[in-house]
Order: sequence, then structure tokens, then C-alpha cells
Amino acid sequence: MAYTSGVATTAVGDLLAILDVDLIANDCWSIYDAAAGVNAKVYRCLDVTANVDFYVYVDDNIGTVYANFELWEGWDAVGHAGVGQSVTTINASAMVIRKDAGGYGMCISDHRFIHIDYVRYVATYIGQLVRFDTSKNMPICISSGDPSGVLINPIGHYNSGANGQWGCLFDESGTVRNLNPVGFTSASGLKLKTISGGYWIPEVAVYNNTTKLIMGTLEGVGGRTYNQANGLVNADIVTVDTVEWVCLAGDTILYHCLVRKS
Amino acid sequence: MAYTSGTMGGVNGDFLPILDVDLVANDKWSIFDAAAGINAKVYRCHDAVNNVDFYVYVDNNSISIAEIELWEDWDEVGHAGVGDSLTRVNGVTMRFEFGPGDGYGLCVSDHRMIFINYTDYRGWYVGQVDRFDTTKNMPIYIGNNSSLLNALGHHDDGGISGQWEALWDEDGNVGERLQPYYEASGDLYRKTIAGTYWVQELPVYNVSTDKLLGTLEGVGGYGYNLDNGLNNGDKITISGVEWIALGGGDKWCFVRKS
Repeated sequence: MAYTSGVATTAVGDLLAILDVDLIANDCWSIYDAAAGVNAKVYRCLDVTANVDFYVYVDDNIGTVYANFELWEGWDAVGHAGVGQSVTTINASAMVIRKDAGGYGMCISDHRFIHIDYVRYVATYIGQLVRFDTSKNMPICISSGDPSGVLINPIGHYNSGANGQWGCLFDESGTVRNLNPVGFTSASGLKLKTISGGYWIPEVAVYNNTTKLIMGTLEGVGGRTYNQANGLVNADIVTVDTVEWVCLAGDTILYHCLVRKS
Repeated sequence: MAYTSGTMGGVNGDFLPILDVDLVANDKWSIFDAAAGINAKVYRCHDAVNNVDFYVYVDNNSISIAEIELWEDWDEVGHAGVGDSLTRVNGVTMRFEFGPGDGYGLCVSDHRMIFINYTDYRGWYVGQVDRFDTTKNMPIYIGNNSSLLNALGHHDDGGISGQWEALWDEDGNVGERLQPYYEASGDLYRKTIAGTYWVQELPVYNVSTDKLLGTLEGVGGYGYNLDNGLNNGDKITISGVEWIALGGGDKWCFVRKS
């Protein structure tokens, strides 16, 4: 697990340069197609022993504050086209990685990465959950597709349309599905601060919208709440077992979550 | 930790022998005053190493009710409470409810007990949470004072159908209201793709300070509209230990049988 950070620009290809260094530093991630399009690349996450294999197409040629991405089952690196099952939109909107000019963070583990935009304090989660059945390859993504206007995001709030996108390439039965965080409608005013001055940060469980079964928990994302009363603001750091978690609250500062910097 | 079960007998005082055997089998619990009143006794939970000390007055002079009080101390000669106390929550008494022939379960650990009524599948929690600060002695009570839904106390509604309160909070204040981490309703699904259940022990916070005192020991999986196919009394197994599903209407929780 690793955490990197730096300063991003809105220039085309800028995000790809970050991924090419920071993401690929993890052995499970590789550049699979460096010429998938103009300022577009495909990254593969492969860990055979853990039943993990998926492809992430990133189109960073939009030249503004976001890049688009897609999840694919396979990829033709010669024809530069996706193969098999895919998630290219959720709720009829493309998925985005927000990349405003300014600070960014990348939380990278073997099976997922989280990109944080420290300008708008929103994030994108791409990869596996901590799965309840590790025999199943179930890459997911959490994004907020609407790149305009006020950003609620942290992280993805819930699957509610363009402002909240939760989907998986394969669910437990191998089907593309929409997902949701457990407890999203009741995550109001949740208290995280303890009497000892610490924080209790439960990693968010994620369920299949169709089967209502929990697929796993977000790796390093927790403490999601609405209208919290913990005194946390954007970029605040909470330390749990010597590892830092950063508070994200988006533009609205109504919805909070904590992301582990690892 | 232990779990015992049986059937209520239907005479005044018949809950006390259950506590006398099953509760006191744990060496942190003892009978402190065996003559606190007619069919009433006081039990002490004391663990000096872990900063736990409180007294539980149990008045079972009824075939269907055991009234509960928490006390800082007890005078076993004068048979009266001493010091701070929690005798009512939201203006009404705290009480376990049962009837003749009702099945019951009792979960006993060093610092808390949970009483389960297997006829209406309600539960009551008396004792410590798994504290985030173990230097503080913070016994709590969770239950309800009516036959309305319970599913272990649901949440403190300010009335009789949900009672959550601490004898002392983290600052030593008496009778502070508590609430569960999840107090609102929502689609809190619990069943996983592996056929197991995801049950987090429930954190409890102080309403005055908004801070979490700790987590309920062996109580979790609170939910609403679970859609998990469970019925009252169904058992799930986590790490080799059974948890039992309690459902009050559309509210659910799981209690570990230990």
C-alpha cells in the first residue's frame, strides 16, 4: 500500500503521467495499452492468486478538470479496444476522475486505487472491495459523473444519478450491477469521535442493489456521514494506528468521509 | 462469557434464582444484598483492575416484571442505595418483562449482562460497553418499558419504547442520554455474498457530548428492512459463536450468545 501526492494540472495527459509513475509502482498494476487513444491509456490490475483481473481505460484528453474512465473485462492492445463486459457509464453518465489544478493524492494498494482531488475534496475509487468472497473477481468504481456545478462526492455519497455513481464490472454472479453503501439513507449525524479523543472509522460496506447482498467493504474508506458533528473539515487528518486518514467533504461540506492514506 | 437459557416459572421472584446461579457464576458478579426487599436483591459487578464497579438492584416481586436500578453503592444493612443512581429513564422505570412460561436467554460477561425474552424477542442490556477509555466506569442501561418494539432498545425515543442511559458518562455526569450510532432507519443490509452476515458491534454515543463511549459487547447488526430472510430467533454463526436475531416489527439486531 502506498500514498503519493503532488500538484496536478488540467492539461491533457497530466493524470496519465501520474498513473504511469504512482500506480505502476505497485506490482499488481501495469500499463496494458499505452496507445489506447489520444492521451488515453489502459491499466491492468492482475493478481492471479487473489482472483483479481480487470482493465481500466482512462481518457485524459478532455482538457479540463476531469478525465473519463471505463472498466473492462479484457482489452485488445493491438486493436486498442475493449473486450467483453464493461462499465462505461453509470446512470447514463460517464464516470470521471476529477483533476482540478492543484493538489492531488493517490492511495494505491494491490487491488484498488483512490484518486483524491484536494481542490474540490472529492475522490474516485476504482478496484476491488475487501471482498467477502475472494474467489470472485468483482471490480467496482465509485465516482460522481457530473463534472459541473457543486460537488457533493465524498465518496460518491450514494448511487443517486450523475452525482453519485456506484457500479461493478462483475457482481457475485458475474453481472454488471449498480451498488450502494450500506446505511446510506441513515448516515445522518453519525458520531465518529470517541471519549478518548480518537475516531471510530468503520470501513463502508457495499451491497448489490439487485440482490441486496453485501459484497465487501471499501478498502480504506470509512466514516461516511451526513451533517456530522465531529468538528472535522476538509483536509483534516485523523490518525488511527499510526496511519493517517484524510477528511473529505466536497463543496457542500455536508457529506463527510475519511480516506486512509495508503 | 456465558450463555444460559430456560423458561420463566410464573411466580413472584422466580427471576432472582436465575441471576443467583447464572449471573453469579461469573466471578466479577456477586450477590451483594440478598434481602434488599421482598423478592428483591442487589448484584454487584466489580472488577477493580478494569475500573468497573456498579450495583444492580433487581425487584422481581411480580410474575412478569423485574424492575432494574443502577447504583453507585449499596448499604446492605439498611438495604438502600447509596450515591448516584439510575432508577428511571425518560421518566419511567427500567424493567425486564416476561410472562409465565416465556423462554429466556441470559448472556453474561465480566462487565455486562443481556436478558432476552424469547416470546416477544426483546432484549435488555445492563453493564459496561466495550469502552474506548477503560479508565472510566460507565455502566449503562438499554431497554424499553412497554411491549412495543424493542430490537434491543432500537434507539432512545425520549419515551418508554426506547431507553438508553448511563449511570455515569465519560465526565462522571449522571443519567446522560445515550444513542446508538445508527439511530435512524435505512436499508441496513447484513447478508453477504458468502452467505454469512456482516455484524458490527454497535457504538453508543453520549447525546450531550456527541462522543462515542464504546461499542455494545455482543450486540450489533442493527437494521431496518433487512430483507435477509431472517425470522425472530434465527441463529447465525460468526467465528464459531452463535448470534440470535431479534426483530421488533421492522427493526432488527443480533445478540451474541455469550
